[in-house]
Amino acid sequence: MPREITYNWLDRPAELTAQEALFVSRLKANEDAAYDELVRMYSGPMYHVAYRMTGDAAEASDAVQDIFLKIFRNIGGFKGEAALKTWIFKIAFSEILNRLRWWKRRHRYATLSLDESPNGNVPGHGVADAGPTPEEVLQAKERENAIQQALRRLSHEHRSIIVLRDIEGFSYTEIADVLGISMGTVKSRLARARADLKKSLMRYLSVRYL
Amino acid sequence: MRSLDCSSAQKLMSAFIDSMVTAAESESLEVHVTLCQACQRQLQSYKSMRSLLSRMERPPLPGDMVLETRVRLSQQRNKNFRARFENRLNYVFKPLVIPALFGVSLTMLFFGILLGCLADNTVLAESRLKEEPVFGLYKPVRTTDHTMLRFVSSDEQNLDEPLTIETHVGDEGRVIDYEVLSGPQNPEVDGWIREMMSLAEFTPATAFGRPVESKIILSFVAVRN
Repeated sequence: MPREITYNWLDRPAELTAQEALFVSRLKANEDAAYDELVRMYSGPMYHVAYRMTGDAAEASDAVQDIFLKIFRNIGGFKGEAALKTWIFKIAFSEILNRLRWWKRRHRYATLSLDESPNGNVPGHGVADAGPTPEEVLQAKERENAIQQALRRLSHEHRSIIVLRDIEGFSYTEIADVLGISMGTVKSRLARARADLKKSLMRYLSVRYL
Repeated sequence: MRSLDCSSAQKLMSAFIDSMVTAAESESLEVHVTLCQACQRQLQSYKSMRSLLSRMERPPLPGDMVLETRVRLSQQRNKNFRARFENRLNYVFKPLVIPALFGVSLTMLFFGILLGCLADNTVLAESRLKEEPVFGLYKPVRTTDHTMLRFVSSDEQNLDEPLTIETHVGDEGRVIDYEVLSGPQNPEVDGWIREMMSLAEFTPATAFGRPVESKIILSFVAVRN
């Protein structure tokens, strides 16, 4: 089923709730159940972000594991100035962008296959989904690859902000916290990133007149 | 209400689809797109793109990723727990190590010295027991060779029976006093004893290395050839 993002229209300030504070204290106390819960809650979104940023399943999986280790090493220093989610994704983006820079220096992009989706499945059309026709499956795969390629052509900065806002549905405040930029910069950077991306995806965009 | 040109309208579109514009900006843009088909298409494409991106399916998680993550996390946590425990131990015990080591060293030194002394005394006692099993640090008075020679070579007296004399020897080895315990009683023998005693010299007895007064029993027997 297509996933619909729930946007945070009110753009509430990102701050630590009482429930999160309790959860953080459990993490700081090295509680097994708390770490299991952390992995269960964040491994999916984190992998999704890592995959959209890197375009590579194995790389994204490695990144996720390293991100959790970093979270564990740094949780002691978490003071609760921001929400746990934004703090976690700040670490995640730091790790992912480091990896991208590392690979860029070694020209890794030439070796990555854009035709393969993670685990060899067509995104959006799992084995259990018997609904789509072969033609629709093919179109979906083509569209998915086109989006991934279009994302790949964006700069790291633009890709980050598109993934956070348009794919993961982060609020502007959360994006500002995660990327360490001001709200004004979020607005302007997002506008430029969307404009860039729109050029690449024009043939997949349906335009209706009002 | 300010009317927008196309350039300004397009700048607002990204924020507009996120409802991050003011009410006035929103109204201006809405009015502009009703009048400008190009901008209307632009706004539609923005909305369409956002919809396309938001509908992207989440890629399935690699089967072993969550498990591997948990294992690595668990390993790291155990490692850290052990390191923290070791650090805590160091933190608690390190300040005690130097004083404790110093105390143990002093104790060992003290016992070493004590045992050394005891061992020396034991050896000393053993060596003295070998030399002088009875007296230890006391050495009895002894006759000197020339005195004995004088006694033996004196053949002026004809002793019919054994003569026993208790002699009191001073710390200089000279006879202070004497008493005939048994033997012949006649003036000749008495004269001979008095002469011998006045000339006799002894090696005085010593106690803790110092000469002291002592007594010695002298016995004389006449030997007939």
